[in-house]
Amino acid sequence: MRFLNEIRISGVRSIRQDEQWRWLALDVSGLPPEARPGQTVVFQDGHHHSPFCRTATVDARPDGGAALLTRFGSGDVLPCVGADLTVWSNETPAVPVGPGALIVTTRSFHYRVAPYAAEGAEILVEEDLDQNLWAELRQRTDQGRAWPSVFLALDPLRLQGFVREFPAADPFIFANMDMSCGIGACRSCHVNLWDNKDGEASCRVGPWFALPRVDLVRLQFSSAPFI
Amino acid sequence: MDLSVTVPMGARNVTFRNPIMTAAGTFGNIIEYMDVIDITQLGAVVANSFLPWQGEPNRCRRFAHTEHGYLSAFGINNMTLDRFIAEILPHLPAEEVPIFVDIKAPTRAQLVQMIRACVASGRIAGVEVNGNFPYAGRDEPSYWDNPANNEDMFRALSAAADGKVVLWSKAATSAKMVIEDFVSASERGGADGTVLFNAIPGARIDIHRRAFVCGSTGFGGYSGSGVKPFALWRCVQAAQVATRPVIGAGGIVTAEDVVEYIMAGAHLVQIGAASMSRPDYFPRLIDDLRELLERLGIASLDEIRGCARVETAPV
Repeated sequence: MRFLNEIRISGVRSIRQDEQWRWLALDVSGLPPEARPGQTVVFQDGHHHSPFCRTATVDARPDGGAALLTRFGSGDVLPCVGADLTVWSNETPAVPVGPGALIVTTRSFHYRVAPYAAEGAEILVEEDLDQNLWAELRQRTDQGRAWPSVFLALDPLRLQGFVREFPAADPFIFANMDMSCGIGACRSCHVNLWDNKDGEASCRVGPWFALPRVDLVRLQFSSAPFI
Repeated sequence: MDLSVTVPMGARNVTFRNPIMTAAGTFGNIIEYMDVIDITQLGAVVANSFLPWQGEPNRCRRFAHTEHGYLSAFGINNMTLDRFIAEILPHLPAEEVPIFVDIKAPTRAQLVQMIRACVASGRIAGVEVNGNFPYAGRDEPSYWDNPANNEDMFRALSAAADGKVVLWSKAATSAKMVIEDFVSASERGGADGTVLFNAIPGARIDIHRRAFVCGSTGFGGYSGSGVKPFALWRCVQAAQVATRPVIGAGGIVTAEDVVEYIMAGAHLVQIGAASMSRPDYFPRLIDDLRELLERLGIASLDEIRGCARVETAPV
């Protein structure tokens, strides 16, 4: 267990919303120093009668505090300032993301990986590019960027498109899965892998997996509707 | 406060530290929790279900929250029992906490073989034979439909267990047999107890995507506090006919829920969905149970087992 902590919400900020979802930044106090920006954590909002845990990304605030970036359904009761949360992570990432890493994402998924910028990663958002994403990546690799330093936070269909475009590439991908127990026991977030029939828990060793290992079609159907 | 539970199992008694058990399907292969909590504080632990063949993570969305619980469709996702015995079991503290396994198979011969493997391991305390198989109603084996077949099957399983591992039957919620017949038939065949019950079938639809949100057939198993009233009723039904222990399960979240199940007649309880509310759920529950029993002035669970009475005006 990496950590299991009681934390308190000191602020609630809206990131965006649509008909179905609301994306929030929960400013929190009490998060342990092991919780690094970009890290995936699981938290529970104290609802006593439901195993209703949510997945969040740790963010570093400019004032030195921390926030949890997460998503609620439009009909959910939203957390309020002063509320206590239990937060935990068993994540021992097999792949560190830091200086020299290039994270490739789309605007809708950006909030999950944006905190890695605080760890020194460069973040490329598809919608902000002047050219096609694949052309951009081809240009960068032609200039010397190595695929293992590329981290794709894209939906599984786009990832399948990537493989068609770059069949020999071996970047890492973000396996965005429903998580529940958060310690690798419940199998909610096990990723189907070509080289391990047991699969591996995204909450335990993820969220980044080497693309050649992952069965992308199964990822498409077993992951949550993305983001 | 003594939370221990002594349960008759065949010709001997087995004592559990307390009535709190994990439930198959929610506690992985036990080992995942060993760096999170002290699992030896539990009454017993149950690993995820084993089949005769290697599984893999289901190729559909496997988990979705819903009202008062969740839907799950984990499918056949575990390693084989043989691999568990060889690779995991040696690392579990079997001397300090009873290790149970949950097994499923399409044929009696396969179940017998799996029980023999458990006996041969020398470290597995008990086996629950799970009627929730195959999934999604496909080719349901007749031994879950018919009391005579069920009894025959447990006779063979009991012979394989040979008094060396505890043998429980675990009823499928969708079983075609009435629950009283299931309990009695299993017991006649030699089962040492009955676990009641499994997740109930359930579905949820994402109206924006016009799609079922969980499961390869559009539905999954519904677990969580929403099933407790139904599950508790099942426990009462089973306890009324059972001559051996009933292990209650379904929707338990709090210490109060545990006491309700004991008052309904259960000897032990299994908890699945709620245990995923936080990794340290079980030690907190055991503390809560101890405090609650003290508050209620209950010295032993034997005092209250099956004590719930019907209150009605005289005719």
